[in-house]
Amino acid sequence: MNLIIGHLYPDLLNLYGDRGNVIALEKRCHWRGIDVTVRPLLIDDDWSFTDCDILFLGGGQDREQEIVWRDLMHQKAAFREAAEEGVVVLAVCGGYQLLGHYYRTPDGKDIEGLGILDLHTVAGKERLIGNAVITSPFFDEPNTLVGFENHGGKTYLGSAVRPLGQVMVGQGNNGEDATEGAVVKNVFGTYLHGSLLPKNPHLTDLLLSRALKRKDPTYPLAPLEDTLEWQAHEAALRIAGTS
Amino acid sequence: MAKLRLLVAVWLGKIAIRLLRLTSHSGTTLPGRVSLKVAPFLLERLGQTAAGARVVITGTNGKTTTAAFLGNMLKEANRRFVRNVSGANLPSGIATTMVEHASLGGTLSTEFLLTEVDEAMMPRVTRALQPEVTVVTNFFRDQLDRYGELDRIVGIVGGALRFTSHTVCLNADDPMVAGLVKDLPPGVVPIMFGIEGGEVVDQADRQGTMGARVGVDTQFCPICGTRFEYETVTYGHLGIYRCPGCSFTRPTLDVAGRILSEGGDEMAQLEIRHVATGGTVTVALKIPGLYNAYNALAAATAGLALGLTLSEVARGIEAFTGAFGRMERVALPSGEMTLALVKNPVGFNEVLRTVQNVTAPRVLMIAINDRLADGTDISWLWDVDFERLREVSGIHFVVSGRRAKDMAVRLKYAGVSTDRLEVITDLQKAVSRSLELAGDQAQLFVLPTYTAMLALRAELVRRGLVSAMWKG
Repeated sequence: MNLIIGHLYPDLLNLYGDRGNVIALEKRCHWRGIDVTVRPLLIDDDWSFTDCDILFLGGGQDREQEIVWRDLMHQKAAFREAAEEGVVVLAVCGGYQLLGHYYRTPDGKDIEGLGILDLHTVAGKERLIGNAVITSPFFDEPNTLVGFENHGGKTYLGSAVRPLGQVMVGQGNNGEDATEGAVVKNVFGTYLHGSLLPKNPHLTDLLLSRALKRKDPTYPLAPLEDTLEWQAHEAALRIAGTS
Repeated sequence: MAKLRLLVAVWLGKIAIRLLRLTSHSGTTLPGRVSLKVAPFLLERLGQTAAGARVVITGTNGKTTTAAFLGNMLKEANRRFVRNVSGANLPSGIATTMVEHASLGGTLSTEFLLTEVDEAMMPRVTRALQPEVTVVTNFFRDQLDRYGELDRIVGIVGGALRFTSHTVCLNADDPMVAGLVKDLPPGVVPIMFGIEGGEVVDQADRQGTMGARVGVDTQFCPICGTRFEYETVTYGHLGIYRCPGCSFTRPTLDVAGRILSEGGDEMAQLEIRHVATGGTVTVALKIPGLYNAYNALAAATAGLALGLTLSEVARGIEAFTGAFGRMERVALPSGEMTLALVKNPVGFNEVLRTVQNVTAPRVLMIAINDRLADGTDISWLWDVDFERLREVSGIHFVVSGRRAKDMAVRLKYAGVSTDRLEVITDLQKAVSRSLELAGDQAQLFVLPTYTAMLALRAELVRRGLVSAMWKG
């Protein structure tokens, strides 16, 4: 078995340690004997999204995100096609906002997004910063996801997506409706850094199993030794004040 | 009235310092806070009374070490100065230092006032001090939860430079710093320092795993947004760069450094050339790390701006063995401990490079806390290139602190064998275990975040291994 992970703009969307998500996906394949190729997708590169099994987008500085938005708009149709075909997408923070319909800047200008997730984002007055814990219907017990959020935008979901989870600690999408993240098909968006995947191994494995299922519905995902990961998860729950 | 308030503020501050020290508190910020409450203009008024120049040092990494280097140079030149020690670089810490050294009549009887200043506090402090010499070391992303994005902090420091006078020393190799030239008020002269490339270029180092460049915070021109072309890179985004989009290039140097030998276990040799006079001097650095060569160079540039001779500068550098918790060497009954603060990816990577270059077996204790002063977001650990340690044999890891488990996961995913990894959340126990593992065979490196370092220091004081920092 071989998986290809496309890491979009690793040199621009690199602000909050989000590359840990790619490391987690990569390592958990290696440990199971699944071959992985991580392909950095850079500006002006000639890409094929549908060749990839998993696409990852992180968050960047405002200045660098502008560069990304400009570049990615040329690839809008291709990206949508990949999402339609069931390519697994994980987008964090700035990358998450980019998947929505638009981002409204502080001076009221709407910047068009990829429109893959039915949501939009409005620049907020204050940044929402801190440890975050959500409960997610995508898992049986334990169903918590732990991370750290740091975003100025407030994201509002439409009816064609469902949230990744409900906020227990933190602000989530907008600090108002207790939702966090958004999911449609195999496309997952979230504000959670941390990095998110290393200390939420159940989410990592969910993404991997979705990607594998597309290639071979019978391919089994072997369990791994996750003591350290769950200890980090537990510690994050404690520090966030949930237990 | 103002004079009376100043005096009351000084006296109260002095009393607070005495009381705190009597009760074994270090008291590096509280007295200043009290004094500033009484006399909010204290920094302005006391600052003016320094007979010579006011020096401000800021930037993400290297503030404390640069200030300590400069202090050593002034000491070698028999000049009198006051400096805020131990990284107390907020207005309260600076005020504490001033109050401590002020006379009861409310004047600083000193020639130079040396202050390292937190980047976010630059506007307030430069407005108050109007420094004759200002140094900006570098900009790396740091504690995003507190400072915000890098561009924001660069803007804040740039804005603060309008209150400077005479001279501003800028790191030419950091494009974010060199770009500050545009913010200088008329009449203020920039002095550019940097390291000439040559053998220090390591392009391979810039290609991290997955082709993503690890630990490089910016590669794009701050003026036009085009990707820089680098001729050489020293570390992080520092080097000789050129923007193909606009005319922005690395400025020509006024004070030029050249690494003659990088050291490893030995001392690194740094050549310093003062372009204006043509004078050149070669110094041996007692503290390892390329970033410390930059710190020495930054201090040399400020020293020359203050009128010190090259030989005074060189003597100051050579007499220096490390600042509080910054590659500080602590003698153990058998062997030695090196204490190095870690707070952001680029700084951590440089410390790891130093650890990697040591040939003896190593015990590496990493203590990660997530309190306010450390940064509450520990995501940045995933941007540190721990993968470089995977292939290095003979390192034993002890991880500790409130986020010990996160650190353990990071090392596991970096490919470090869990057989060589011990997780001991409690700092005291982790110190004991690390000392035991090191014995007299291995070099012990202790890499804590800020509050973990303070706690570790207290523990080392308790064990009689170091003296309390305010005596330091």
